[in-house]
Amino acid sequence: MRTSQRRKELFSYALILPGILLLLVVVFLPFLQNIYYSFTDYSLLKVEESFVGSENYRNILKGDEFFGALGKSLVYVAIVIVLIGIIGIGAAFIQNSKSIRGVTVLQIFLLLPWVMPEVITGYTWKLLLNYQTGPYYRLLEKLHLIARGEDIFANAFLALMAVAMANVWRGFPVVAITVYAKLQTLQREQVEAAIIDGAGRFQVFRFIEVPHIAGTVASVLTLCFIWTFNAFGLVNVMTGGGPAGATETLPVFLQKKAFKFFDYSGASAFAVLMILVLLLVVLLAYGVPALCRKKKEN
Amino acid sequence: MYTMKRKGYVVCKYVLYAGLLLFLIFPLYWIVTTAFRTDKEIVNSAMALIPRTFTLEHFRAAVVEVDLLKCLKNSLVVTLITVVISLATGLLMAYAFARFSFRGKNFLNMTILFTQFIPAVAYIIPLYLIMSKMKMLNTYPSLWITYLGSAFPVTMVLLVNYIRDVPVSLEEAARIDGCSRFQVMMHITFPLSVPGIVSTSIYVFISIWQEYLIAVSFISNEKLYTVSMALTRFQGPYGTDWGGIMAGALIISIPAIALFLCTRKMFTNNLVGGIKG
Repeated sequence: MRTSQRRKELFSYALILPGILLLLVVVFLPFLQNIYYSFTDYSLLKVEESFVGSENYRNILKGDEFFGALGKSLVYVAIVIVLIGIIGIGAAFIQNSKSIRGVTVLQIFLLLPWVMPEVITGYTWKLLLNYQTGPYYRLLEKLHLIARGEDIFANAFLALMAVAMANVWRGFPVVAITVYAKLQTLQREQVEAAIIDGAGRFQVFRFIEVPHIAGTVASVLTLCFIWTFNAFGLVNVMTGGGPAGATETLPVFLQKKAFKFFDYSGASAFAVLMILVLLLVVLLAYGVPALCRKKKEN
Repeated sequence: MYTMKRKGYVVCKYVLYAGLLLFLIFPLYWIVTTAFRTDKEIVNSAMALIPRTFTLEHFRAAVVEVDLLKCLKNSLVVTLITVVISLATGLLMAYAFARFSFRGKNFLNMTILFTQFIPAVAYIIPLYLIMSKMKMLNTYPSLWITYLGSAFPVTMVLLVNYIRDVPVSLEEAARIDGCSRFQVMMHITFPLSVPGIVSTSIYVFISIWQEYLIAVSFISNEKLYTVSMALTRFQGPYGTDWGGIMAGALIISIPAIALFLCTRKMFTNNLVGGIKG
């Protein structure tokens, strides 16, 4: 009996071995190497790297490049996540509504922006907002939301908003679909019982539907946060970081540092800091509500 | 009074629905119509919402001048290799996860979940440097090796659920009939998970098909451009060929959209399942 157990365990180790090797080679060892490089002075000019301690980090934290890019990233992510959340959850409720017919049309098109290559979203929105010829540009001009003849991609704030809107278009379907899937698991009896007890539509929403979807919303928005925080293609295609670095978010800046300026160890340190920020935000987003809940229980 | 209020509420919902549809569909409509308009109409500042001209010139240019077919081939080779390797290794690991308990399983599970959160920028610099030392930049392997880092964890996580859905009783019956564990896995479990395997492959295919950051950082040889990079070729020093970009966009989306539409239901389940994961 015991040998059978042993063999079972051996068999499972044999099964997971190729996957572990793969992960080690393509993710974990490079990841560790990246951390190592961040403490050296490796660049295209200096191929024999030597250990320099925390110098890269001190340089980054002293300069304003990192914090500048971080600030742009955070503003960008905040705009995108808020809009993705509102539009996505709205779309989920519309799909779930019984009084609306023809939601299939929405459902057929819903995931297309997400399935199509990311760069296409970038080019499309750039064309839509294109100086003078884009239909969205002309609409904005007619509504006097932009000054006549102003180029959106030459204005720091407008350029950032343009990329953010493109990202919202591409990202909200994910929220719409996951939240809708969760809404469908809501027991109809529960809602009916509440209505019999005299609950209005708003009360059903507030006390039944919102608690039901809260967990899903939190996890899907966390995922969207990570995607948006790492978004590179959209920004690169639409603005290339411009005008004058106004849309140079962390990934865009980092990619330039590593693959255009070949400052490998500087970029490695930059990448480590970027992951730390990512972790910090995710931990805050999960940790703070959990802590509050615990306090309440106590 | 009540019905009036109710009617207003429904009308309000329809207005929101229409706005949402417009927001979603208009950019798609613009891609399609721009691809078929003549350059003259695209450059014209008063581009009408409904196209007045029709041409296939942009598609000709995309295929003949930009050599989009070559880029399609590059992306297809790289994506397929990534999917096949992720599936082969992912299936074995997923089987172990779905059926056995072994020491280190929880730790490994956490590690794989964590891997999905590591952004590519955190490990591509060393990979780039190693590949550059080995003269491997500007080759297919430089791309698919790097893509495995993001493709494998997703594949594994999705496959575990599909393998769990196969009843254990079938496996036990086969064991009693004298099959080895390996035979049971290969001849009973995997064939029964084929729908799940197919939908997982499609999900991974679509995400790798559109990869841009790694491709643009590792590939400089135009002959090896992937589909995402191909569209940059429509941007010349004298301006952007919007008709060409949109025609190209349609061509390179077709594989992804076709695969998605074939398995819309399962694709959605994978997306939802992956997020809950």
